[in-house]
Amino acid sequence: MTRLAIIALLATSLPAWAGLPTDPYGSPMWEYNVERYLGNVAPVVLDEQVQVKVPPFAENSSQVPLTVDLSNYPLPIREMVAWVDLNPIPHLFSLTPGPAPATLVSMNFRVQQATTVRVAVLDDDGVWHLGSAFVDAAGGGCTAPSMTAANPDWEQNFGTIRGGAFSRVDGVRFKFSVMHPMDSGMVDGVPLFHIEHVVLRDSASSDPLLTMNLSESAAENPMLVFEFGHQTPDAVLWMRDNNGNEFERKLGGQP
Amino acid sequence: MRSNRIAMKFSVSALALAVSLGAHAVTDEDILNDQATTDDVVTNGMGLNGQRFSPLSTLNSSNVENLQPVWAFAFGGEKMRGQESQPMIKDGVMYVTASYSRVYAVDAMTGEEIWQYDARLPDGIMPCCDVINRGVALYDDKVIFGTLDAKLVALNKDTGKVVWIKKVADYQAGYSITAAPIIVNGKLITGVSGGEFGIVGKVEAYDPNTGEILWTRPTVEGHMGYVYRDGEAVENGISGGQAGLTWPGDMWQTGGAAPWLGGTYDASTDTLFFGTGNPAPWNSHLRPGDNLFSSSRLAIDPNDGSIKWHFQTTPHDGWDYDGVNEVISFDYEDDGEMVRAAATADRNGFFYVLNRENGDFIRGFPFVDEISWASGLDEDGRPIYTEDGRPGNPAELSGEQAGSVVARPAFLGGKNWMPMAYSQDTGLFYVPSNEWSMDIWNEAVSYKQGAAYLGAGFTIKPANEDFIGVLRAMDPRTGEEVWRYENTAPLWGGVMTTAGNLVFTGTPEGYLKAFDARTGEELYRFNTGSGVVGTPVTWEMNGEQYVSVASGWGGAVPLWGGEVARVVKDFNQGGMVWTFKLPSDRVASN
Repeated sequence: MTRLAIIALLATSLPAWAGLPTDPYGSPMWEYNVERYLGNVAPVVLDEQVQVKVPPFAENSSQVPLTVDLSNYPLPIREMVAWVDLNPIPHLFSLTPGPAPATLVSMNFRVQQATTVRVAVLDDDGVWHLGSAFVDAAGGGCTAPSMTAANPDWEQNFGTIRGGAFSRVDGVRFKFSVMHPMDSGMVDGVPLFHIEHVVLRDSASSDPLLTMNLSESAAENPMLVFEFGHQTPDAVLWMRDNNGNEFERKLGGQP
Repeated sequence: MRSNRIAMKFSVSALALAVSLGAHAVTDEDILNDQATTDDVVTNGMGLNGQRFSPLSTLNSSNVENLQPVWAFAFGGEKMRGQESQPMIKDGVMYVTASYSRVYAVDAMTGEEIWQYDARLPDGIMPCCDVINRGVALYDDKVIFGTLDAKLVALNKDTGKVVWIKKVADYQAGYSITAAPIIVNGKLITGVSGGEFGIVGKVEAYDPNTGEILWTRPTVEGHMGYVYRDGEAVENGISGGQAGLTWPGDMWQTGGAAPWLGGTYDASTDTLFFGTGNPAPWNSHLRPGDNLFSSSRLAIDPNDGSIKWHFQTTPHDGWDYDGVNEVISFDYEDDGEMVRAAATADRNGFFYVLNRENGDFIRGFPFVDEISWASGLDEDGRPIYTEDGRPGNPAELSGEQAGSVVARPAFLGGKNWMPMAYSQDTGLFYVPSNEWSMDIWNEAVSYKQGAAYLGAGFTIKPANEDFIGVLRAMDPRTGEEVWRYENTAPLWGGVMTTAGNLVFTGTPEGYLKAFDARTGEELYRFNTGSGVVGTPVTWEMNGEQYVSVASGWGGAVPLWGGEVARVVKDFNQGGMVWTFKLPSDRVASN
């Protein structure tokens, strides 16, 4: 059966909903994942102003950099969802911005095979703006044992956060990494163990600058970058993993 | 249709959260009444007093032969090892733990998994005696258990998601937790393991809703206890009054006495009963004195952790006779007077009946066939040591294994961790016990954090050719052994008794067995496929009586059992929970 035929079959078994454009990458998971993560009610448009940047080839399938550049995206952002179409658990993150949305989000993730990566942004009118990119890969990043698993002393460095706030011409860049195995639960004998929640708060007001839920596709010892156009370089980072461990650190400002 | 299924997936967690706020939470009242309610099991011990007696009699000695397995559930994974858990049942859901600090919620009707939690353990954990876990505590909407890296973890009972996690002690110093914590009047109470590593034992109370510590009580003389008010530690008295009364020099600083088996609670006196493990190191010549509060039973005030009284079963222990075994509260009539008693069967081979209001010794007697290290108990219950019963002092001897003695019971005990049961109908205790001896000798040793702190060598030998395990029915008023069942392999599983004139226990050969509570006649056996070292429970669901037990050979025997290996070497590991019921149409078949 050709891929077109499969898509046709899938399409006939689904209620038709307006507003889903054709996938420029022709991914077999296009409709399924859009519906899974965005639902089948809100309209979806392809939007090149949601810039998704990945390397053309993943040299290391368990550490692939992803950058979502929204500096040219003009509309307010209510939600952001990212997924990796052909990963066993495609969901990568869901992000809810604070009053001033980040203009850039960057992190590293895993790829199980060559795949499209999607980032969708919800505007005030309830429309999802979707950007895509394709990364070629040898694969296996989701089911390979973590480096941490091979290190019997992993707890020594567990939870260590390196990071800070860096000033840009206008605005601020928060950049941090945390030592965490981020085990996907797909390696025999190593249970699921990963950071689920990331919250960045303004130090002074304690208002969240963003909250983020991470899934199994996030990479080991993740490094995250957030850029804001107008924000004091003074924030508190808080993270919690599925075992209930909490990690907290001040980024920038006075210690 | 796919779209509906996906929509449902997304709403499940929200629904589960809504349910947990409703009427299906476990309350203090549920816990205090657990021994009387038949539709749930919400305490380790089937009642806080630990009697493990069910008032259910639907299943009884005349129809137990019709008991049928209804489902089995595999813990999975490449890891197996010993399964010493006691399942808990609430609102048709079973909460059961497995080796390597894993927890499962299972539909009690079908055996289907609802959720699973696998603690991510560091490689450096140091459990002395297998990577086991003995069960959870239930409170409100939480399932709470202790991990091998000495943490308490509270999970949402509907989702299995972590609500809070709390480090109780440093696993790198040798601490771990294997016992089920207990809930008493809104407090979560736990002990710690690690007596083989020179830790300092402690009993602690936490807020089950938040994981905040409420009080801590060290179980070694000389260490300060604390209560916590608004996060501040407030001194609450040194255990035993001051350091150095029963320990030489600074040995009390690494004194062991780990309360590793958890505890029971008596509501009539508002008292926790926790037993304490061996003093560290094993070589007793390094620590002349009674070494309080090692190898003792402690009566603790649940409100602030104060010690009300103590009873030391093996003062100056030199044989690794931990005093951790469960203290079971029970009442009996003596010359028309009601006696508020507590009973415990010690590793050292003696069965003790105490006054649970003040710890006074009422009587004690051997529950094993032979005891070598003591000739009996004096009027206060203190052992009368035999001459040459204690392994010699290596500082005064030369040569390997110098001063070696044959001691009986072996250090794995006349009875070990596996809980006995008390029947309110027969007035008998059903004691899972073992007949074995050991060669034991002392060696020089010094303390190093995180390293084994024994100073002794040993090897265990079966006492008889044809059996090691003995399930005994003991009369606490007379010391009489009313009946016994002999088992080839050592018994290592807990016991349960019911108003149906039944006694249940498991064997390393794989069987769940039921006996007539009055005669000891074996009435039922079912092979679960691997050794049973867990503790059975029973409850009622939709008018039918159910029995469950975890199956999976392991625990201390295959690790420490010496020549017992001859008997147990062919037993295979496993990891399952088996559930049985008496079908309603078979109730009156006899």
